Amino acid sequence: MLSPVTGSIKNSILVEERGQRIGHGGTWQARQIGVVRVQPDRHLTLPVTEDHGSLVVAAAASLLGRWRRAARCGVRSASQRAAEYVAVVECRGLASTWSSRHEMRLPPACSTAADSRSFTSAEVSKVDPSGSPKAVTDPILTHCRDPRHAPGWKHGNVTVAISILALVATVLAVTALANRIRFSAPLLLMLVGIGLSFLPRIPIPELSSELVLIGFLPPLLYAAAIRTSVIDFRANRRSIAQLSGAARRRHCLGRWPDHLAASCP
Amino acid sequence: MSFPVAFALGAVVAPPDAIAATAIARRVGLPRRLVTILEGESLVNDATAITCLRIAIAAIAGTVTAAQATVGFLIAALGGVVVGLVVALIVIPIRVRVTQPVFDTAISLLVPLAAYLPAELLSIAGFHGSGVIAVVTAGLILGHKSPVIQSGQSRLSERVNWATIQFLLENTVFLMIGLQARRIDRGQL
Repeated sequence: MLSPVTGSIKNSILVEERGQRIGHGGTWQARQIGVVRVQPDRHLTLPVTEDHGSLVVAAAASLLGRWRRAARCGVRSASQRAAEYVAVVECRGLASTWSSRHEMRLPPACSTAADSRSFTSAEVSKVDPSGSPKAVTDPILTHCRDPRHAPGWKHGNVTVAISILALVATVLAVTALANRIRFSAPLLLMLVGIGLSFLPRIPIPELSSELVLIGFLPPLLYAAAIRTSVIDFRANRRSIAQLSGAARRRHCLGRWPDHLAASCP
Repeated sequence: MSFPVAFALGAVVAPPDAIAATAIARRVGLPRRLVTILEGESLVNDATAITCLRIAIAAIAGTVTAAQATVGFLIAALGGVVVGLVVALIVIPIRVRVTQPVFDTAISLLVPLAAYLPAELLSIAGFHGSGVIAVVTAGLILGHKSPVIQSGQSRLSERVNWATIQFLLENTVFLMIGLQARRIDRGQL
């Protein structure tokens, strides 16, 4: 759950393609609004969070258009059904034409008041990533900005706390059970996780690569590293280096086929 | 499948999980030297695999040649080692002066990110240092020096705290991987 939507949007968007940052527009007042990834099949994906509106898609499309030197790029239509937000992005570039459809779920608080309605392209095209930062009124965001409807307002932080509590409690219970029945704890945890994920009404925390790389990996590696004996490590460094790095590098990078390397511009 | 894609796949499946390996090793009673090699290898292979994966992804995007990939790997590895070394050299004199276990453990909580972030921000010729290698380097040095720079009480406290953190994070990851099943099933990843 994200913090409540407050303040104005200054056409904030970061567009990534295959891990490369290809476009960036403006700043979100407090934080990045989100990362739009362009998939190899030219579909845009964005993290499905509550406070993304049509403007994110529009800004992404526009930035993409600029990057691809597209002749025309924009949101063809955007509409809101009961609890879904749908935007169809169409981009006509010099090299390619593609379109993409997005569906995102709105938080219940925001969807209750919103009847089935459509946004005109004029409404959506208010977002101009190349222009100067200006406040944009997105129908959904305006609605959500009302503190009574804001996702994460009051309830959001409690949900995060409950999620963490539930995760840790489940981990403890399942690990204890695994120890008792002499079963592999990681395996049992994964099975329990798979089972839980198919239950309705359970919010699933997103396991993003950023979370793993910054939140999980450094502490885990540090914990493992401080317990490792450098003396043993040094005594076996030849085998360790060969198994983990040197061999892989020698076998793969060193012999990167020339014809394949040449195909990479 | 092109070579960079195959390389990326190789990097993804390369690092085996140390927990699984040591659990089995303990059960069958492998010699200590083999266990050391397994554990040591699993410590370093995460770092090399992530670095390989990043370079492979850059190569898939079509911006990296073989020579650049090799240079990128070297910069990532050396940059990581240097940053880890520097962080350890900064932390060691501080820890020598700090005698209270609470402060000492609190400092140790800072070290992983203090090593990870600068290494990732370090950029030479467009290639970044490897944060994971920096964390492993700093951790190895601090762990090795701990009898000299820490009091016995501090060491006990740090060890227990980190064991708890490791237990929680490790197992939460497995639970969260399982929880992604519905999302994977619906193609929402």
